[in-house]
Amino acid sequence: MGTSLAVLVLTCVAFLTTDYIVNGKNLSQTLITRAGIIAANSTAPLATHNGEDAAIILSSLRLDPHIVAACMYDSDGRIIAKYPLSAPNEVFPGSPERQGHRFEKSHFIVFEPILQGNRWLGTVFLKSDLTELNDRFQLYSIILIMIVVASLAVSYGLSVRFQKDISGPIRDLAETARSIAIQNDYTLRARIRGTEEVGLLADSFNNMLDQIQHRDSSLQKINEALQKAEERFKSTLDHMLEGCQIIGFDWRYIYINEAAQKQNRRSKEELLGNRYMDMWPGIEATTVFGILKRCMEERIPDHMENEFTFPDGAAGWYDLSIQPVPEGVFILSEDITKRKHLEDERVELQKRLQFQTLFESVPGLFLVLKPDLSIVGASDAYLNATKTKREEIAGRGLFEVFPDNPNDPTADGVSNLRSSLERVLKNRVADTMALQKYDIRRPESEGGGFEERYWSPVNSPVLGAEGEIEYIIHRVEDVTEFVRQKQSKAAKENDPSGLQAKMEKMEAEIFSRSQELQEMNGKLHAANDELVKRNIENQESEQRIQNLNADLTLRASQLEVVNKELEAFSYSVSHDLRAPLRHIDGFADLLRKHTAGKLDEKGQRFLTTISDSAKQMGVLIDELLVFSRMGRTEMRAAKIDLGRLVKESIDALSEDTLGRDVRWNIGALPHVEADEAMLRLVFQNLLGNAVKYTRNCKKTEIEIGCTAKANEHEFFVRDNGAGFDMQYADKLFGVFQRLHRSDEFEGTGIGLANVRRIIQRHGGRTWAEGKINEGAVFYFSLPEHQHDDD
Amino acid sequence: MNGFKRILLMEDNPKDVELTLAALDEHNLANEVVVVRDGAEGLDYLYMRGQFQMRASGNPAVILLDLKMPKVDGLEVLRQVKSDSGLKTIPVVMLTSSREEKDLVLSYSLGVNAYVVKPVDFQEFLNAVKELGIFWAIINEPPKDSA
Repeated sequence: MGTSLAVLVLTCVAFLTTDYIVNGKNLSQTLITRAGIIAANSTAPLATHNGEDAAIILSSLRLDPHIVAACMYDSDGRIIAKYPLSAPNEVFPGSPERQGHRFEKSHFIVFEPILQGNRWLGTVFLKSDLTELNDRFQLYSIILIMIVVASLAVSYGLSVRFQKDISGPIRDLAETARSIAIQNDYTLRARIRGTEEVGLLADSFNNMLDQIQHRDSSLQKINEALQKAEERFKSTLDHMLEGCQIIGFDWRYIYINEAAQKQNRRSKEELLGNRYMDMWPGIEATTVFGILKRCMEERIPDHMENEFTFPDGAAGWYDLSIQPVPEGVFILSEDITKRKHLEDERVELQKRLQFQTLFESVPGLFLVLKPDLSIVGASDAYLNATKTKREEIAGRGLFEVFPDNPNDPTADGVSNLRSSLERVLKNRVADTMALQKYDIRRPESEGGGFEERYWSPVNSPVLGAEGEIEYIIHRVEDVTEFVRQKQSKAAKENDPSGLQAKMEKMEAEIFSRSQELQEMNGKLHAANDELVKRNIENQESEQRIQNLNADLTLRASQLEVVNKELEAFSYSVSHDLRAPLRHIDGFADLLRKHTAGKLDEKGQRFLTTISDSAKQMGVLIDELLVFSRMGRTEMRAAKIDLGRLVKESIDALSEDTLGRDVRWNIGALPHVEADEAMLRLVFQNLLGNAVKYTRNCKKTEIEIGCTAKANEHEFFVRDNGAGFDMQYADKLFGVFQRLHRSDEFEGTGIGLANVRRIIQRHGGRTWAEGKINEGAVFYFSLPEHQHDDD
Repeated sequence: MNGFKRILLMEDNPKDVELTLAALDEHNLANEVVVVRDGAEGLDYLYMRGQFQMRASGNPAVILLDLKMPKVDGLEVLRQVKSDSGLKTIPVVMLTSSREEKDLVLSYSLGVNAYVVKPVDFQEFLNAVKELGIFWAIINEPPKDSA
């Protein structure tokens, strides 16, 4: 409102000012004119100094009420006439100015000269008041002020209305928007009031807020769901029995769960945020690091069983699964130390079992005792002799199983045996017992009770690694029959010394036998240790093999990639090189047609050279492609009838041998294992060469044959053509190498290089002999069997 | 039958276009050859859309198709043509860069039935169209130096 007021006021002021000025101008103009008229009419009275006439003229001024005074001056400056007649002389200026007009305080005065031709006769003086001007000014001012006031009123009235209907609601809307922005509260809504349009605006605004609120709440829900999912995920990982770790691309620990912390024997506070290699110095030299690196850099997952040695020397086995994840690498680790130990134990046990079975079936009666005299083993023979079963006695005390015969008051088996065993324990050497009566229990199925038995025992110790007694072997000879016989014999003849000697002899024998047994036992132990050592070495070798395999696989796949790239490269090179070639050839051809007749012989030759060169290059490209492919294509070995292959190659050369006297001598050719397409190329090349280089012969003779050598077939192709200088024989098979100029015999120099490559890939060799103008022989060998290692 | 003598040549390399037209021109066929510079234009022509909306109606008698073109390549055009009921009767001659490329194209069993190695030698072109059995649809007079 202030603006409009200012504008209005300014307009009014401008209008007033303009009006005043214009009016003023008009007024002055009018008066000047009047003065002029008077002056023009006053020449006569002034010339005649007629004051009365002059006064009459002046009196006409009474028609203009605003002229308050006027007078005429003569040439001397004296007043000769006045208007009004009654005016005193003081009202007029004393002396007239020549000519001029101006506004004075409240009057306008004019001096106008009275001229007759060039003679200045006098001056007219007019004085007018400015009431007209002022009245008008006042009037307009009042009108304008009224207008301004009215406008103000209307303007105010309207503004009040707008306020109510438009700016109020709009301001509310703005306020609401601001509150929403500040408080981030999308549940606020604008109040709908005011005019239709504003109401519509508020309505749309509210709709928009509905949408926003809706979106906002969905967003919140999604965020919550995301957070929950993340927590669930984290919680799952947290509680897994297997260890979970996540290592970032910068090799710092991002996450590690409880299980992994236990396995690593370090807390997550120690590890998180730190670099893997800083936490485990020396880890970079290990296989597991290599795998981690591969996964980190090439995103290749892997799996391995790894034995990890802690700084304090302890070691554990872990089954590691290593996966690439968006943050870096994820390691799933399972502690399989126990499993490994169990496996080792099982292996150990199996070995023991084998020994045990061996041991138990050995002829000879013995018991194996622990130092506490409990039974840990017995041979089958012993069990038979004592009528016991293994499961009855194993693990039980010796004397519990074999007590004295309670019915025999003189039984001293237990005490003697115990003494002997104690001697062994103390002295750690074998102890031979004297002949001992020691009755055995008869099993219930046979009637129960005890049976008489005589034994000759030797007890010997088995020492462990540190010299302590691990076992005692109780070896016996059942001498019951012998004793009975002796007893019955002794009853017939009283020969104590004979008996004694025999007894001693037997004792000695028994003793030496038990010595042997001890020795054997020692050897068995040594053998066992050896086996254990071998096993460990095997494990290490296996690991090394695994690593090598992994390396090889990697290399192989890298090679494949390189091969594929080479294939793509040579294909696209050949393709792209061909385009300009055929353009050269094609346009040279067109040029030839275009200039037929107009071009001289030299010109024609130039054109032909261009075309030929382009064609030559095309051939080179093709051959180079073939050559490169020969080195990379997979070989497909099959049994091939070489005789047939050679015949087919000769047929293919029929065009080149047309009209020539060519004799083919084909020897017996075996079947070989080789790649048919490649061998076909070999024969095409060698036979083609033979035909080519015998071109200048009257009679061409080409011989093809084969000699069997140890483990290989040696083939040759002989011709009677141009031959070559043996001095350069080693260049023959080189790429793009030739021994003849291209104007003698055309060629690219790739053919033989191809042949060599193919034969080499089959595991054979190529060589040649020749003499200039006396022909050449080309040899190649093929092994009898192809190995499947290509 | 006038429109049926049209040959549609799809070739992006301008030099190859010139060579082909020269070969055909020698035997009064150049007037009937429509040249497009890539597979997209070729399909526009066949479907009478885009810049070819106002062309004379009727399918061309044969399509000469370059394998490698920008935007839509030869094999893609072949696939579309052979799967469209209105277009699949048009014989298609593939242009290859070399004889061994022929093997590559053969391996795509999309109904390719004739090849011509670039540059289009007229005799070769004749052989190809003879193979397709549309000899008389194309040739309006025996060539001056036919075998």
